[in-house]
Amino acid sequence: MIEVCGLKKYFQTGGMFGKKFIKAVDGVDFEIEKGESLGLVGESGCGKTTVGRLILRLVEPTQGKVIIDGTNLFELSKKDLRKMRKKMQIIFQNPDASLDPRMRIGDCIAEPLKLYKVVNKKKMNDKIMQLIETVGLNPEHVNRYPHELSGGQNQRAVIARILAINPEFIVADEPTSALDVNVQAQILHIIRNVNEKFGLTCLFISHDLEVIKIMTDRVAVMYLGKLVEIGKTDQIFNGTKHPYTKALLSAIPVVDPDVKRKRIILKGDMPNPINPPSGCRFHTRCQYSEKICEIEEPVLIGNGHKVACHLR
Amino acid sequence: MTFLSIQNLNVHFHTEDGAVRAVNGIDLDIEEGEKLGLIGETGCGKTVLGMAILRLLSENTTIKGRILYKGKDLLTMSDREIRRIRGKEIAMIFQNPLSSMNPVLTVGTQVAEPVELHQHLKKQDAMQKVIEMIKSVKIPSPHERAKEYPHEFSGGMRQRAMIAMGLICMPSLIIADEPTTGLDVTIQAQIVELMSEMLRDSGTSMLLITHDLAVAAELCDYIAMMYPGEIVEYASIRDLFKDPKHPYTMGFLDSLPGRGLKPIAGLSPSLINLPVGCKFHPRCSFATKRCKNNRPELIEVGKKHYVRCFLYD
Repeated sequence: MIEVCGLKKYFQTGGMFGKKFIKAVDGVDFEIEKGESLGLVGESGCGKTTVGRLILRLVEPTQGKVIIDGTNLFELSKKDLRKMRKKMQIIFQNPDASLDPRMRIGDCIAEPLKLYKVVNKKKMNDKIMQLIETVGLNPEHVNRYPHELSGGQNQRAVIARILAINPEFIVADEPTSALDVNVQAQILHIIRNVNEKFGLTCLFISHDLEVIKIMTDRVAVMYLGKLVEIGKTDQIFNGTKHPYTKALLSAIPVVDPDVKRKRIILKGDMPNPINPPSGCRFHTRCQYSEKICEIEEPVLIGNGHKVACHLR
Repeated sequence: MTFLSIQNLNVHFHTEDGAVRAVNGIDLDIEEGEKLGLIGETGCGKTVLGMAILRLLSENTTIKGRILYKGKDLLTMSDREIRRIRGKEIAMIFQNPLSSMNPVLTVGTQVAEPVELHQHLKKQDAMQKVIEMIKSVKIPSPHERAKEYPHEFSGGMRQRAMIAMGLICMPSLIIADEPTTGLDVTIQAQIVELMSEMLRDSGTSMLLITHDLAVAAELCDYIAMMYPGEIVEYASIRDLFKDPKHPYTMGFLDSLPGRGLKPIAGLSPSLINLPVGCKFHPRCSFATKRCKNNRPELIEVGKKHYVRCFLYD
């Protein structure tokens, strides 16, 4: 359904004389099948959010294509893009900031219904009530303002608004990282249920590997603007081949006091994306790094389960 | 004599909307060298409890009860006495290092503050100590980094500087409030590793305040589960994970993504409008009439294992 080819996004910083480019996304390729949920993991600053925004053309790319149902998203006119947007929606990280503070929850949900003429005025209220119920809010919440609700309730309202126009594809950008564990579990349940119920295709962006593990069919691991590994969720979690993914997995704190996992502690922080390391971008923090890693950049190869590493 | 003993602590804030009852009758002991994790959801009063120990709460607060540190009540001490304890004997590591550090002072100056204040060292000697401390929290090139400002540090490095600041006077108790929240998993693993190393070497006691049970499991010996304003269960790490007693603890464990992702229905009550009886009864599947009307007491159900629930009465 969605094909991403050679996607690049450089942000310009610095003044007139010291022009620099932050290479947020530096050549990313992947595809998402219809009805599939693809997870995108990586540390903060690796460019995963930028990928999510590029796929919806919320930012213009420096280079590359995003092909949805055979059409290149970046070649669409404004009018056609607006039509396309009806199919694609995004859940942002911070629910309080994604709702208009001066609009009641009911009006927030009604807005896309009116805009895309999903239902007529008579049926508007029924539709809103039905949406509210799908996401587990109470009818009384319709007349409340976002500040009167909790973060979890606001995130439910955001999901209700997204479902209003029957999208085919959603990007969920860290939808639960601002929420408590229990509320997180509630929201993830709703996302999983609506995905199944409406057969949605989903790009699930998160830094939390445990959440990714239960929410996705396939996982792409991103490091410093590039994908280092992509494969079925099970392949990544049980048979990862990239040292970075290995370190990420070993960093998950264990909830069982009897299990002592051997931990790979990565040294230092992620390098600056203005000036990424030569060769394999991960070589500065990789314990297996060899000479070739410093010189030559590995490409993503493999059948189904793809890895970008010289030593795999 | 217990090292730190919190006895029947109540903390209420007065607001326009009514009294916010953040802490209601909490009893908690920490022995010397012990690491206790205080776990709870947002708004359950866990940070307030941590702040109350060092008397960092604002003026509109009513605090009742006793907090005995080595036998002396911290709540009735003079300001002068408490100032001698803050940072020297009991130190705090805050959640968000960017907003709790001073943006216009260099990191070195800020790490030096507690030693200058408490140990009256000369500036040069203090700086020497600061460099050693920065080195021991594994910040590379400590001489240069000490002269930089907080915004020049990454999130993980800032948290390391916070830890250096907290431990520089060798306190006997550290209160760490969500020290790894907001950090990436790999950086979180670095910080957890660093903290467990530093605490093992110094024998410092710790009160770790967090919503992340997994982090607490790695760093603590005991866990106290908090549900709006009270402790509902207290147990060793092992007992809590293998044999949780309180329905809230069970629900909390089940809602973790690694353990089934089964959420507890409903929301935590607001601290302004707490339910009568057991605070958890509106969400509890075992609730009976008794739970609605009476507040359960903490009952001992095993060795150092306490639970506030009528099921075990």
